Amino acid sequence: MTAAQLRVQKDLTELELPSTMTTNFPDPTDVLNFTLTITPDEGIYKGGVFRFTFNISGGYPHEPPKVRCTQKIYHPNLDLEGNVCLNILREDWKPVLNLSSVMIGIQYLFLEPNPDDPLNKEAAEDLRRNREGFIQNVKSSMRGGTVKGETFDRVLKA
Amino acid sequence: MPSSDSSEEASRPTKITKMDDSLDITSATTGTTEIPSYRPDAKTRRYDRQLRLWASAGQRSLESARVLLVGCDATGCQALKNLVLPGISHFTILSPNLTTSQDVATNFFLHPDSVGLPIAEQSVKYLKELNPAVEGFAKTEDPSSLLVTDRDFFTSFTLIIASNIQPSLELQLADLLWQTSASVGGPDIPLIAIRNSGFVGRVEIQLREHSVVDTHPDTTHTLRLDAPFAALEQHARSLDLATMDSMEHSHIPWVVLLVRAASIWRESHNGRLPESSEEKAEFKETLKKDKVKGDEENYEEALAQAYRVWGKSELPWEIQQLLNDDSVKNISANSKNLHILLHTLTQYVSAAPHLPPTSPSLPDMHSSTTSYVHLQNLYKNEYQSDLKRFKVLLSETLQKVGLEEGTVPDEEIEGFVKNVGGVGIIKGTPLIDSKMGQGLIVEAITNYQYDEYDGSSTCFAMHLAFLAAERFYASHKRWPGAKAMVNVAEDTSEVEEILKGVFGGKEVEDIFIECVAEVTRGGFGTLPTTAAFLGGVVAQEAIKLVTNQYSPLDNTVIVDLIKSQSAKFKF
Amino acid sequence: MAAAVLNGVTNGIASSSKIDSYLADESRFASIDKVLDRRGPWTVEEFVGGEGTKDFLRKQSKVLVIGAGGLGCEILQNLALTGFNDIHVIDMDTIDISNLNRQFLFRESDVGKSKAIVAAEFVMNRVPGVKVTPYHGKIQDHPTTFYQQFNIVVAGLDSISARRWINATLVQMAEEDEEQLKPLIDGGTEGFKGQARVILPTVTSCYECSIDMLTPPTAFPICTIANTPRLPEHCIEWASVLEWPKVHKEKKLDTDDPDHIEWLYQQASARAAQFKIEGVTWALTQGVVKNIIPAIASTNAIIAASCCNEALKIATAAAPYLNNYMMYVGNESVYTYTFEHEKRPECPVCGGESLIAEAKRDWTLERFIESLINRQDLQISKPSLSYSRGALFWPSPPDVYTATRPNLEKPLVDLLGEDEGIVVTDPALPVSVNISIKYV
Repeated sequence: MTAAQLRVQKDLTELELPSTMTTNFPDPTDVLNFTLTITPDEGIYKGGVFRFTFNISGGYPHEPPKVRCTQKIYHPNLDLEGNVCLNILREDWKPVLNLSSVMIGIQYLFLEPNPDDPLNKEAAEDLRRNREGFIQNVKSSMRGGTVKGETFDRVLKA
Repeated sequence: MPSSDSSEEASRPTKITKMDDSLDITSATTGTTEIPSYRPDAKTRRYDRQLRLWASAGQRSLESARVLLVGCDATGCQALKNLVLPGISHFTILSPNLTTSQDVATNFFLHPDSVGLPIAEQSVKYLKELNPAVEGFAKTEDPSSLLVTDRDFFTSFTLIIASNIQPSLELQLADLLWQTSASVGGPDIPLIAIRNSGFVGRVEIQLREHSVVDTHPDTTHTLRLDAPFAALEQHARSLDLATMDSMEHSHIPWVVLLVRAASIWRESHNGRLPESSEEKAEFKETLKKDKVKGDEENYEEALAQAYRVWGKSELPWEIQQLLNDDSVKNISANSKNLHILLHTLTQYVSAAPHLPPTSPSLPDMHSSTTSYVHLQNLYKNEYQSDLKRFKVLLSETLQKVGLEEGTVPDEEIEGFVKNVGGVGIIKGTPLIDSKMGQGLIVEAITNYQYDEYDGSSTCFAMHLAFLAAERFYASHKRWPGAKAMVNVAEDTSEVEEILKGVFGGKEVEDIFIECVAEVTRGGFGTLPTTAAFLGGVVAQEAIKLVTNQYSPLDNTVIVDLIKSQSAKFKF
Repeated sequence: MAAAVLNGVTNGIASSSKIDSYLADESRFASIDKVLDRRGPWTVEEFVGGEGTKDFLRKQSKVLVIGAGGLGCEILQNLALTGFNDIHVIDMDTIDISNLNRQFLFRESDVGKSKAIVAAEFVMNRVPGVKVTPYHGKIQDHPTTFYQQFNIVVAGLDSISARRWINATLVQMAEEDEEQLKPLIDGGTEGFKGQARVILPTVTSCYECSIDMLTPPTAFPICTIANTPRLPEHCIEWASVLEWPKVHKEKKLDTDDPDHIEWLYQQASARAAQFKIEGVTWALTQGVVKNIIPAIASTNAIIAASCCNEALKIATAAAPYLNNYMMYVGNESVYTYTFEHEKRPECPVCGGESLIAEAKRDWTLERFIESLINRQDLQISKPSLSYSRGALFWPSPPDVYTATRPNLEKPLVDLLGEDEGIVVTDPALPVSVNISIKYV
């Protein structure tokens, strides 16, 4: 068993996730690859179901996990390819952090989108200029609608 | 080959070049010159990993270096290997000896086929294979007689390495080089002398004076936060924080935030900056009040960097010391470029605003592209105008000592003005001082105290054991412990007696007896591992000396591979 | 699995009479024999000296060198000259032109060939009498039994993951059997700096104990790369992290392919021009995407020499070996720092305990877990168990629980053989416990 696997075992079995987050293991024998589902119960993104893939390399925890959103969503801190702008996923990663810190960090983005350090510039500008309009855009995008010519994935709870 | 009668122009050392294309990832952030870019050629690819340390300027210096190795042994050849690989211009090995099987067994640059053949020729053959761009020669004459018949031979090199040669020869060579560098405009050829026995080794460097054009300092300049130039202060004060949107506000560079806060503070404090710890805390509190939300990263950075506001934008202490040196104060047409530049710097800072030139580089900070590039341009423009003023002063200086405009190449002036904090001058001592137990070593001997937790006290004792063994050699023409026998007690006690003589015949601490025993145990034979370690150390130092980058050893290091430790001394 | 190639090529080398008489001349070792025949003031008690010591060094010891790169070439040279005559070397890489400024066993004509094979041949040719056995491949492809044959392992690696792997493997070997304690000597360099350390698995601190000392790889915020680039590096990362996957979809970026670097360089340059950022060069592009670390021959020489010096001291007891870490810094004069890096109790590799748990042959896994919870010396309440095939039983997360719950009912003997190890973690444990089962 490698040090990375051991650390992942400790991280995962000692996770205490709120009811808004669940993990899914497509292959339970491979604990280094799984998805995280976030269903915010408050805030602008309430009612959506958001999925992220977690890919943990043998370099963990020296290297951070690789995280991507599998859906195309309208969010200031996610781009259309599913990249996530979260400091602890890149420049501020430290081995003392764990999978729980990353998951909490991602959930926070749905509660408090940060329009000042954007990845999706248009969405961020909408949020800064006109919060009400932004909320409408979020709602419409979550239904699979189009915002400024860009069509998003439907992510509403079934 | 330069000799004392060559023209002043030709013999003036002019080897100061700026890091025009520094590729160091951490510092190559704000280059100010346009860099030609193309797919690297074979040579650039071969040297890629080292160019990232000393850039093309360092490589050019290396590629014009001529290195002489006196004494052809494993340690010397290991040092040469580490210089041939990065691409010096030329090396010569000087040794009249024939190869023995003991030589082959310790030296990777020999083969059993070499036994009985001239060792210098054999090692040159195997060393040359390492890099087709490097020229290598063997000289099979006796160094002692050559020192008498052809002194110019020695002074034709950039650097000389003496590896485990007889102590008297080592001193003659050191003396020749020390005397040569004393003559006006004479070449200052560093001598690196190696001695090793078993697990213990020593490297000594003799040079009269050495210039460092880029020490690659860790700390950056002050950014003039305490004394902003007009354009910077104006820019900082022109921002209207109240009307900015949150994104713009959170992307004001911390430099601008601090310059602005300091400027406002000065207005209400009679032109003073925060001094007491209360004032400093108050300054930070005031800054915090401008935040529009809790987690603005640029404000976090500004608070962390606030100490720079009360740090003074003056010349670093080390550089001020250099300006006070006679060789900088009193320059002539024979002065080195660095001395002329430093002399000019004295005049530069003596005029208002009494500050060193502005550096054009700016560290990365949380900011938008436009706000960052704008700020960067302010620094670049200020640097350009400071450079202009510096060049005017330099022309006057050159004229005064009778040198032509253009004596110091533009590239070199720019490199200096950009990085005044990164230069250095090392003043050496003659090797003979420590060998004769005079000069700085006297105090070290008088104040010596053994401390088992301080490796340097063991290393100092090793140095004296080496010194005593060298005196043993002078009378016996062989090294203590060199004979192939298990019991070396006789040699050991004789070396002990010599060492006691250094302390005026008094009893010495046990550590000295132990060090003598260890040094005699090795019998001045070469362990391949000790040779490789010292060869690495010597080559690093040679590279630093030849490229005038990074700070070289000044002047002695003892390597104790029993305890895997080392200590350096200036004797 | 990489095969041993060129085994015992010593015989194949053209042998001249000069080589024969050289090899017959025992006095050639006169220099090194001085410290092997004579005791010094710091020589450790176990030192025998003389023939016994030399015989072990030259005829019995077997050393494994991991890596035939910058440090590896130097290590092979030093070990061969020091008198280690049975040397094995593993490296998965082939020779690149940028290696030639320091990897001195290789020539331009060797570019593209296996580092391990070329290095082994070179050393055997230059130092007759030495046998060097090369393995072109990954260390991970060799079973534990492979590593059991060596007395000492010397590693000159540039990869953190390979270091972590060999460290964990050797610690595990020592944990399972004290007789299998192999000293690991590890070297590393960067520019003018480097370090050498001696790891006695389970006894001293291990590589994993100091993993927090490493600086994580440089990474820039992705929003900076995407929207507010300031440095040339930001433009290069934009090209490699964001643009490459967008444009090339599934095609993976190969940082060794000059055409790929060219593409990144062009993209980054265009972006830099657009944002008025200066300083994007080909070399910087390559440096950023490959995370290139400056490397020179002299630093490698120092660190490799230090590693081999420790190997010599361990094999002969001619002097005490390093306890346990030496740093060398050459940027500013010459500076070394020698210190004892302390074992970290919560180290996931060497910090965990090992114990043997008894089990009855008719127990289910659930019954076995109960017995663990009841143990006074463990004090655990919600253990997660893994074995060689992954999770054996994890109480959470739900998916893994569901997948492993059926195991609870199964007879233990069907799941685990005798001596098969289990790794147990629990919120109450700082790290983990390795358990081997003994059926009673």
